[in-house]
Amino acid sequence: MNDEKLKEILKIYAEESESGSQETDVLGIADSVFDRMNPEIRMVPVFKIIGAAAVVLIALAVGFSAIFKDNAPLPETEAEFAAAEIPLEVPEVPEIPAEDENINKIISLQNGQSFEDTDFRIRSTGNSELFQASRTRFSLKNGEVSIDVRSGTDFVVEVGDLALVRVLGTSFSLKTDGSKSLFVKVFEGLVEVVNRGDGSVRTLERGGELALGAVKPQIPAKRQPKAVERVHVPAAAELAKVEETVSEPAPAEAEKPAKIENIAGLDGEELQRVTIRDLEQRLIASKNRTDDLNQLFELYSKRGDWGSIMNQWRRYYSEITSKNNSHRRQMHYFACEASIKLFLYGNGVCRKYKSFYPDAAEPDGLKDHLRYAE
Amino acid sequence: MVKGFFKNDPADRLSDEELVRRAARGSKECWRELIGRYSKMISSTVWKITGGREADDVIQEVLIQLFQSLGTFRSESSFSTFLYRLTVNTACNEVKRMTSPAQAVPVGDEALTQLADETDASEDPVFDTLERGEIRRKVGEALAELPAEIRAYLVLFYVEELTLKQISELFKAPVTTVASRISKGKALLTEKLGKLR
Repeated sequence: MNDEKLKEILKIYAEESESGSQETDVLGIADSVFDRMNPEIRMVPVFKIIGAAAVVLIALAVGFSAIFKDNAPLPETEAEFAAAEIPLEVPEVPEIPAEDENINKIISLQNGQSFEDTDFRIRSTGNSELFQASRTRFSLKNGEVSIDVRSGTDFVVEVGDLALVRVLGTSFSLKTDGSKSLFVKVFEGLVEVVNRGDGSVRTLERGGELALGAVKPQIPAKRQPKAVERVHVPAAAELAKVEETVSEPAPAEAEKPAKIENIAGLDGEELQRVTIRDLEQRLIASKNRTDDLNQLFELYSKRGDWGSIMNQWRRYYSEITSKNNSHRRQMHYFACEASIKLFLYGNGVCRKYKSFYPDAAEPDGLKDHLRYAE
Repeated sequence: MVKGFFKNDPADRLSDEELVRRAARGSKECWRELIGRYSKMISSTVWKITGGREADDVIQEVLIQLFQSLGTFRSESSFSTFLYRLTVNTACNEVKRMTSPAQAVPVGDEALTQLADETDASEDPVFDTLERGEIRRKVGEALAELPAEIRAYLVLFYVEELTLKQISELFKAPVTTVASRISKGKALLTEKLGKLR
């Protein structure tokens, strides 16, 4: 075979490699690399709060019970679902941060005025009044504000006794309707909301919505997700709530016990649920994250919580697929199984599983899945 | 507050160099835009060199190396050239790592060089009659059986069209060694393709 012929056939081979490479989620890997390597210097526009203290007072007076709703816009296509990823991780315990210093002053801002610090900027988009308890802890008394916070800053905004909104180092928007309720809609990133009525905690991911109160207002989107960015992958439990409206009862998620010590006396299903919650909460600080993730994948699989498997797979992709992960094959199996159950033909998880582990156990339906995927 | 963070310039309008500067200062948007522009190049180059084996891991390694280089990148060469070199270099290092000692190719094997010369002289009418899809399959199968390092040499030399000197710099090997291994690669590939017919 002469050089020209060899060159020709190798170039044909290279074309095939290029087509195979198209399924590689380079941007997903880039996100993972960035989030792992750059937490300390990243600066993100964080959130906008439009609130009114009157809302809080009225809400307290009527003694409403908080209703948590999750109306996150769900991915509609396989491609969206496959591309979904959560950019950041959730702290283990949602506690109010220790106050670094007591300031205790009222800040009144006219429309357009700003209040800045090295780690944040608060800009009023109406006439606003805030109470500053410490350098990074505020209480919004009245008005509308837009806030940018440096990533990594433990920044908290209270809305009276109704809720406590904690920034988890990423972007979101929040809005109240100005009457009886507080509504949160996350347009980007991750936000944690502590319901001060019942102590429950809810983490909202991008696209998620949460209602504290009875009626959902029509909230115009302040920031539309960009087409190239990721969307939130809901857990299977959330998938089941696609058709729910805000006025329906709160999902069971909000009623879960917050602490793992409540585990005593729980039956098998509850035990699983609480174990999952505990594992998820400690994931960020876990020293054996892949062990915990593997255990989570097993539990998710038992419960048919396929969306959560794909969620964690995306979130911790680089760690899961690392050569140092002794559970890599098993976790890849679970991810493939989840892809089959969720009909994710385009994500390439099963193709890679079969390619990497040709002799390994196959999840049910793998052959059909691969055939449809072609 | 990070300087320039609140600038309203859409990332997709910024130059590569400006994106590098902003990504180095912590802008994820700029980092994503930068990677988005070259994601196809990165993945296809890695796939070609590794044959798809552990491609995701290699790409991750490329991006880690790139991220660590952001602060030190100087616009002496274009970013695309810089990134291409980084990608090829990292992929080659990973390929070397993948290649076990048992697969290592002896250097300066005259018999192999001779074999390569012999195969050079032979004609191969069979491939003239095959469809492209069939060629892809056969070549893919044959290449998959080659040692990773040999496969990388062949791809770099015949597909990426790097010179022997450039490849020798990438692999930190003498030019003669590179030439010898490419000859061996040709011989092995021809032999394997013959068996597949």
